[in-house]
Amino acid sequence: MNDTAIWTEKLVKTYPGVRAVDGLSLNVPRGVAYGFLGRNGAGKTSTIRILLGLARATEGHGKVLGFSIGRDQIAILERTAYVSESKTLYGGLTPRELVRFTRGFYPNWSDQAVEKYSRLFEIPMDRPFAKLSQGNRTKVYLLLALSQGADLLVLDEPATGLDPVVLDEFLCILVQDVIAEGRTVFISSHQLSDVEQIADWIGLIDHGKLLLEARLDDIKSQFRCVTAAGNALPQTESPEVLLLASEGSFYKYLVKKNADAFAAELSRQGATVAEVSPLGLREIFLALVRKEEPCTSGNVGGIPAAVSSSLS
Amino acid sequence: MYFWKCWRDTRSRFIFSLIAFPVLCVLFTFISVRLGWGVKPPTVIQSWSETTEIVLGGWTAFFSLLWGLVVGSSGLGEEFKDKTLDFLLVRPRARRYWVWMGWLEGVWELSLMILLSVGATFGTLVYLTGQVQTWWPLAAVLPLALGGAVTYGVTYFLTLVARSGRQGLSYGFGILFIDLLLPVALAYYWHINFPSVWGFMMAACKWLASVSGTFPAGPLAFWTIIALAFPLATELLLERAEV
Repeated sequence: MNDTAIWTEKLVKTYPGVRAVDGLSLNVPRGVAYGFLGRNGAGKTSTIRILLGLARATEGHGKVLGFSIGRDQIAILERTAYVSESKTLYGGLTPRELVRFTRGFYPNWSDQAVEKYSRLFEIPMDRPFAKLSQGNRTKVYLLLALSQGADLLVLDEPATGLDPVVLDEFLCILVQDVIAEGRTVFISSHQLSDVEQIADWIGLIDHGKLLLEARLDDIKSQFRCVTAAGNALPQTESPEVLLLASEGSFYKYLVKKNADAFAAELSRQGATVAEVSPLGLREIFLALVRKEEPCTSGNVGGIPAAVSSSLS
Repeated sequence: MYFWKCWRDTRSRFIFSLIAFPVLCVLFTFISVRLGWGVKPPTVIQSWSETTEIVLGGWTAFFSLLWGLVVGSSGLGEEFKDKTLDFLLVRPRARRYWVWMGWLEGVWELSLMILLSVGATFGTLVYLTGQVQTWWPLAAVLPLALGGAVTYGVTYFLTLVARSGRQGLSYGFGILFIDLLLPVALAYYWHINFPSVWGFMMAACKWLASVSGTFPAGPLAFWTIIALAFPLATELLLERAEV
């Protein structure tokens, strides 16, 4: 448990008519960048809000940095920096005043970090927050989060409005100044390519359930797309194989493990295996989410859990 | 820190009020001493008692009730509307800290404004009559601040209930309206004494004007409890709120 930055067990959050988080069990190791991915409404922000005490879990429990959610909330917040999805701050305050307001709450606050990042991000420190562009507002939020000296950074869509140069600098900061120091980054984003650049671990959530949780390297080295042609090829699925598409005699499979063995088996059945190709995070994301979407709550979670255990 | 932030948000309005309210008090005191509200021209004793009763117990009391409503409407509920509450609540402080710090800042503004208004009234009285007839009018700070703190607390709470400063203010106005009219109606038609915060402030200033009869200690205790009950209710509400 001490090696875990975030741990949840069967977390459930229901709103009237909606089960936003549905039995979510997360294991985020310390000192890694963890990409928390999912579609709009998948339950990412609800999960983050529960972790930070902004919402209460309907069922289940969890720990952040070893402290219980709800019970030890102040201890969690002292060690956690949060960049919210909305990026809304006090419009009348300037970034300098926002720094002044925020610094007193954190014992590890770094004025050097404020100096460094405000210069790097070129933040107009004396202009009221309401008059800043969306990109500059995001930068102010990031500045405040990075200067807290937090053990855990929870970033909900942190790239909103950032231009590619600043985004690149920010990702470098995360890797060099945060993760390299053994701190943890929990990043929720739709920008899969950005997450792919820095993430060590991936958690994929849909309809409030965890579809996949694994090391990104393991995913990249083991997940394959197998394209084959032939008659009467298998259309049934197993925990390791998902049928992505079939048109005429062409079939496309997502194979989560032992792709070469699967291709060999198809060949034995008389198929012509056209290609065994690696998959990017984007393809895997789309394949899993689209594939799982029509499923009912009874069978959605089964496959990813198996994948998770087989890869860890 | 949050105290400073609340002050920073409302300082323009506060500084304006800090000038406007004492100026109004000086003006009303001038009218009270030079023209009088009853027998004309008023004697020095009448000037002192009428000013305490009418200027402090009437006008200043009414202003402090209104000021309480306005200050209360910029309370925590406004953070909901501005969508800044999540930023606030992920700072490492208990939720009650935000409630009481915000409330305290408003009470501080209110108290300072009333202190200056009463001081301006007293100073003008001394200047115009050329003597200190009594020091008791200075004690009007207590009931006036307490009355203002009641409407402030009510609006502070309602702003969180409505999750909007403007809506909280309109609810607060509704309650103040009831507070002004209901006791009068009940007393007139059914001879029932219903507690009214403005009635308490007027009664307390009337007592200070003459320092005779029974001091309204019961209502003072009652309205002190009410003034503290609403921030407490706000705390309970915020503790259970999901953002």
